[in-house]
Amino acid sequence: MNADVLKTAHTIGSRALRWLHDNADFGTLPTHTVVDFNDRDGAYKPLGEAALATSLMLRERVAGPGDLAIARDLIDFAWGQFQSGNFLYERQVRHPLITDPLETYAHFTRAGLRHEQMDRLQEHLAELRSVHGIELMPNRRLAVANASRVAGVSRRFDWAALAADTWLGMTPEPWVIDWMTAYCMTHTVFHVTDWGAHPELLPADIRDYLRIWLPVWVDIWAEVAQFDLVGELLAVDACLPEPVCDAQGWQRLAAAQREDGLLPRDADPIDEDPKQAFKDHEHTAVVAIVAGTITLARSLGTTTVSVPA
Amino acid sequence: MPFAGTSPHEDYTAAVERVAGQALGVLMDAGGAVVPAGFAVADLHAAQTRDPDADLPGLRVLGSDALAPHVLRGTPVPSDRAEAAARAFAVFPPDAVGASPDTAWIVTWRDWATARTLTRCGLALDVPAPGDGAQVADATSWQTWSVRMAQLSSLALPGLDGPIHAAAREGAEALSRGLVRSMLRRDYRTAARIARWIAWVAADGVAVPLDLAPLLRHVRVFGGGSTRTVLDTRIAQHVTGLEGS
Repeated sequence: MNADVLKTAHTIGSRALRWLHDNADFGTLPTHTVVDFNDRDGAYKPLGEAALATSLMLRERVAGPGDLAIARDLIDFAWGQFQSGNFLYERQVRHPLITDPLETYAHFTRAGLRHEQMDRLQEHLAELRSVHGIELMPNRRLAVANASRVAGVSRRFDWAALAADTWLGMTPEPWVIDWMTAYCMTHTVFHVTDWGAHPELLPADIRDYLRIWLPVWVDIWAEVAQFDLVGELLAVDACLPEPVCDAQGWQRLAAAQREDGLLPRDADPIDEDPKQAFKDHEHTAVVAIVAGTITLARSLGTTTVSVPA
Repeated sequence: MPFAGTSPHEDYTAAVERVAGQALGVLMDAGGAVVPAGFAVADLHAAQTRDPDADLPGLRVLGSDALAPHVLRGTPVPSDRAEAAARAFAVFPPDAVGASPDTAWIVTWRDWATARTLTRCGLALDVPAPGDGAQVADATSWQTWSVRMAQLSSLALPGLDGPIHAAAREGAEALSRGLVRSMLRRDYRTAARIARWIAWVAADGVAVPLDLAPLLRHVRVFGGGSTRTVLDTRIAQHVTGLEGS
């Protein structure tokens, strides 16, 4: 990958991180929040996503000291919002068959933030056939498998079978894909490789398939200014043993990013209200940080995370 | 002969569709012109009887594609058809087909393909030599290059070979990407044309990363194209079918 792409990836990610950090107060959990709240995407999911992005920065350590300090501050903030894990633990206790507490918790464990009761609870749940039988979309099964792996839960998965069950695992006609399916496809790659830590875990047929078709998808979604998805696709590129995309996708993102670091999710006008703008575009900031981080890390060869047996 | 209330452009478009329908009829062995469902072309046979030259614009635009069905099926081109195709060149010489300096070389190559096809029918056609094809090797990205190759799709016929074909063999992956890009942009006309090249290189023994049959069916089912686009899909299918024969 050429130096210009790396510089662009780094700049976009760094600016997105600062914007996310500057606006973090817009993303606090309401004080009355209880484990049964309905507005799952309101603050809970974004906090988990911020934890994901920053945990990858702390894992890879390819950012400068200033950015790493911000990343640490942001993940500590999110951990605080979740009452040092109590919130996630209580939510899992209340709903043993939902998977988001474990998936969210796993990001924090990457950064060394743990909750002892949560660990015990997960070990127990991992033994239950009822938990094994939870009905999920195939790419979501991989999300659970990766969360278990990252959090150190001693549950074993048939990764090859899980990957084969996904849309991507079928290596289907690349000319019949829609926006939502594209997101599912990206997450299949993220979970199998643990967000770029292990490109070698991608099955060979999927790797070969993406090598040919990923540049096409970047092209068509860049053309219609779907910046959030383009960012995800570029992150997928960084999860391949040999990245295949050229600089154009990154350049489109760089051109779209505002001076203050906000990267719009698409070409729609950005809301004047900063809180609404944060809610609308925080996911794209997370995507930019993730894509920038793993692109740099792959290029520099820093990932040293071992694969649990 | 212009129809009442239609512009010359509409007449030419109708002529292209009409000749494409006739070619499709030959290819499908239908005993007449084929008009795909949903495409209403005004009374085909009546148009022919009214004016023997009514097909000339269509023959000129379609070039070798108008004759390709005979080549593919191994049936002789009716002599009046071959003569009409040759006459279309006289009525519409290369500098009359709207080529810009940037695209003139593409027209030259298309005319070369038509001339070569007519030679098989025993008719000599005086066309400029097409050069070494350097322009086609000179593209910057797979996006631009594959669209350029789409404009040259009438060369993708068995029995024709040259530097453009060599570039297609070398660029099977770029063609495949361009094809999928066209499909996702719902530009089925371009997709069908690139598919012609994929079919040609596959028939030539080059490995391609796509299963063409469902893709060609998809273009026909999702429509939005024209009789000419359907003809491209059917030619591509036929060319691919030659692989095993």
